[in-house]
Amino acid sequence: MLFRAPAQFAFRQLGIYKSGLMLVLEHFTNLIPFIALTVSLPGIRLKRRLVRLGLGLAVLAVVHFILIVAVSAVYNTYALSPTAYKYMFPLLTVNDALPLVLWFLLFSEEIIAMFRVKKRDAAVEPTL
Amino acid sequence: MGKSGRAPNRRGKAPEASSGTTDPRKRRLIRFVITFLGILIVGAILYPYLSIALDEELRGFMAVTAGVCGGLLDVVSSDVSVSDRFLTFHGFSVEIIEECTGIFEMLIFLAALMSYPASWRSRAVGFALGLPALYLFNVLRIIFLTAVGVYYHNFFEFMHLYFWQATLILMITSVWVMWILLVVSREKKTTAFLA
Repeated sequence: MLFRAPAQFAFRQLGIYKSGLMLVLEHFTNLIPFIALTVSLPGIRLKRRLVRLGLGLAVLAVVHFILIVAVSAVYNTYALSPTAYKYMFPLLTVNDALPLVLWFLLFSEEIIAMFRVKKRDAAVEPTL
Repeated sequence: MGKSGRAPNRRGKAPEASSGTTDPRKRRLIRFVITFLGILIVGAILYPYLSIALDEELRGFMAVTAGVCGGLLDVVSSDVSVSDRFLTFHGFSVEIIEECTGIFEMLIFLAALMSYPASWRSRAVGFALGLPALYLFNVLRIIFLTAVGVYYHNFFEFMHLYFWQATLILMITSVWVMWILLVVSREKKTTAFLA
């Protein structure tokens, strides 16, 4: 509902009329967990957080576009058949997992700092 | 001793300066991401074939999930009925399909579990505790949406579409982070990964 109207408009402008948009629309909501993960991570300066957030959202938007094109191609070839499912499922699963991957890549230093456990044992002292 | 009169470094050489490309932590992190995506893609390619081969078992799992949701709702209300994969609560019926069982979340969680450096013992603990946790989260999610369907019917489609997907990765991430903090972070091996 939030994405349908602008997405349909964009695709009409690009000459795509028979798209698999409705098949992937609900998977566009992976923006929300990425935003939530970015906002909730502690110990980041605001500017860095906003820049990385924008970068991650841009990557997700590009992936969504690629997803629509790929799913549309599968849908136009195989309709809603078991064969189509075999092609669509990996695409949608990777899309759904992408917020976690992006979060890890864009905020690696902060995440590592969050997971690091201070040890008294000198043998495991981190190297510089 | 060298010309400066100072004793040499005990390791024999100066420690290597870390940079963005040679930082071993960054390299291990990138390896984790690549491994995670690789395992996920392989799992996602195999899953449709498995779901067709194990269709009866999957249908049984859907029915069990409907039964579990119905059992929990029965605690708060007697107006609950379950028929195969269909759950009815105060006259509002939902069908439990494949996506509702949490199996996709488990697939992503398993990929994250297997690609993060940890001992097999820690992974076994993650498997034993993480999968039921995800299943429980999923059951609560179904119950919540069913309640929305009963009491706020106009919002059901919106919540079903957006709430479901939006909470998917948050559920997985929270269970995975808890596993790392409570189980894996106690291992020396992980400390080496983070060092």
